[in-house]
Amino acid sequence: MPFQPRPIVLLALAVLAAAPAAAQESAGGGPGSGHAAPRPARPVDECGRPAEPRQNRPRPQRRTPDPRPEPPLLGRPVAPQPSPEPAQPDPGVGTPPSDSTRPQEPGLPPVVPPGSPVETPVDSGAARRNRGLLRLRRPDAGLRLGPAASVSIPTAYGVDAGEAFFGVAYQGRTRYTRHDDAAAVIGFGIGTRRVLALEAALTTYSTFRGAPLETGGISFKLHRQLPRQSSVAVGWENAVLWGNSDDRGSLYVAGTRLLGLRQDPTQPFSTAVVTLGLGNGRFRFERDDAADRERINLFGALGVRVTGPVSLVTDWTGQDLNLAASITPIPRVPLVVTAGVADLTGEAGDGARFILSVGYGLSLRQPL
Amino acid sequence: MRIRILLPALAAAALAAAPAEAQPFRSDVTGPIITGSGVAGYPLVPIRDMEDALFRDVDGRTAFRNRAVADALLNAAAEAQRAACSGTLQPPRSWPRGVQLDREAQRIVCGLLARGLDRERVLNVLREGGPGRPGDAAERLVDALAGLGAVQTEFLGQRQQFIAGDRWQAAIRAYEELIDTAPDSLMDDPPAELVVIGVILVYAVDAGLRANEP
Repeated sequence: MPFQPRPIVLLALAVLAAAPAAAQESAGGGPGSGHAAPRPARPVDECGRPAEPRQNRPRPQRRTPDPRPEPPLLGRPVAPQPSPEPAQPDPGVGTPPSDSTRPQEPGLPPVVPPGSPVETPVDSGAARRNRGLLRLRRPDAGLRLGPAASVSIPTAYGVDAGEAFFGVAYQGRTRYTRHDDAAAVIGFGIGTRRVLALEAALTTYSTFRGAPLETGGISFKLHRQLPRQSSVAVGWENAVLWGNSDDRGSLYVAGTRLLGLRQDPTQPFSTAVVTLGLGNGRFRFERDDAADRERINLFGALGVRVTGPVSLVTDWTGQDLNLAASITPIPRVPLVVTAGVADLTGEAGDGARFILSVGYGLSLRQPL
Repeated sequence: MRIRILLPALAAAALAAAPAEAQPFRSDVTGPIITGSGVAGYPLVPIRDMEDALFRDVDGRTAFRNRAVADALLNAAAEAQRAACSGTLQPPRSWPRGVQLDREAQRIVCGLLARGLDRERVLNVLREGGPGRPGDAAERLVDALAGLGAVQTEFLGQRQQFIAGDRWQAAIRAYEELIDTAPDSLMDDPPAELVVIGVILVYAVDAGLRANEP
């Protein structure tokens, strides 16, 4: 058994150990998202103190941070304006009479008369933080699916407790042959990705020329969600094999991050998913694989969401350059169809090959 | 003689085929990923879509996604409006401690929601005193909020099972657009009225989203 996972195991442990244990940002969320997502940090001024109202800031002069910062006030006080019709709250909702002569709350800045010539430079950092604070909460779970983020390589995303998936894959012809082939997989997760989750998958290979599960493998992936919609994973593909599989298992580490390219996720090219990883086994260069040299190689994928349900994906497996289009054809149904071309450059093999997969994700906890 | 020709020919054929034989076949792992959830895309890393969670299309109109969402959102909004009217509206717990909401601003926003009062005043504040543009986010926000708290419930659908949410959708869209596109000069120290509006919308939207989660 030439399989020697030691270097990559050490690398994997290092990646997991480096993962921050802090609270995770929710997967769907912007600054105001989700119950698990922390709100953005309180607005602070250029000195790192909690932001004070503009009128209290002697900008641009810098001050030494106070040891006991004052409570921040988000929002300028209302400047009194002559109003022809004083606003009367709806008595039907229990509004007490307004009291415009009421003294200011302790700590509130003085009211600035309209037209007051207070010229202060704009604090872009405070503006960005206040935008984050004032944005409405984003749902953090399963409200719309994403098409595939990779073709042939594993991403660092995975399922956790209460989530499962199944799918089938087809190759128009396998490498160096004229025979087509197909496989099927079913998997589930345990644990929570916010701490550590394990994905386990059972695959049956060569289903066109053998009975189901006559040849198969079991794969594992430990993954952990990180802030900024990213994730890291350590996996062992085909850790258990039986039958006549021509694979011998692969260990890998991977990191994946979802990048928001546009503010509105319904716009074209709104998001991209980037994956980078290191692995042995099938991720080696073909020459190393053929010579049975135990090496670690780089793999990666880039998936760009062209429109809401459609993505274009390219990945480098360490041997093959693949290109595919992926679609979630039915709104709110977690069905993902991916079709493409493997070994686009003929780098490892005898020419490009058609590949197709259909997958379905399940969640027993959240409506996908 | 034939054998002497045939053998080299066979040998040559074998050599020609040799590179393929020497290559790793690996048919089980050279197709689409089939060893993990990648085959199902990334369904468990969802895309932000607040509107999809709160609203749906019913006969060309916008309705709340379901009755639970409508009830939760509208009740939370009414409660927040009542608090604003009495000057006791508090920022969400998840906000930084110490944030205070101006009582006068609460009263103004209450009047806007309940009766559409002070519309021009709020619009002027959101535009930083500038002229603005007709139909800009500030105007659409104020238009959507004016009298929103007094809108009568309208039912949609063949069985009248959905509650119209056009105004709320417009308000949320305009608010989000304003927050995203307002100049830094407005957002580095946002006006108290905008903060109060934001707090009320945060309470309402949060309640609606929670109602959509099982």
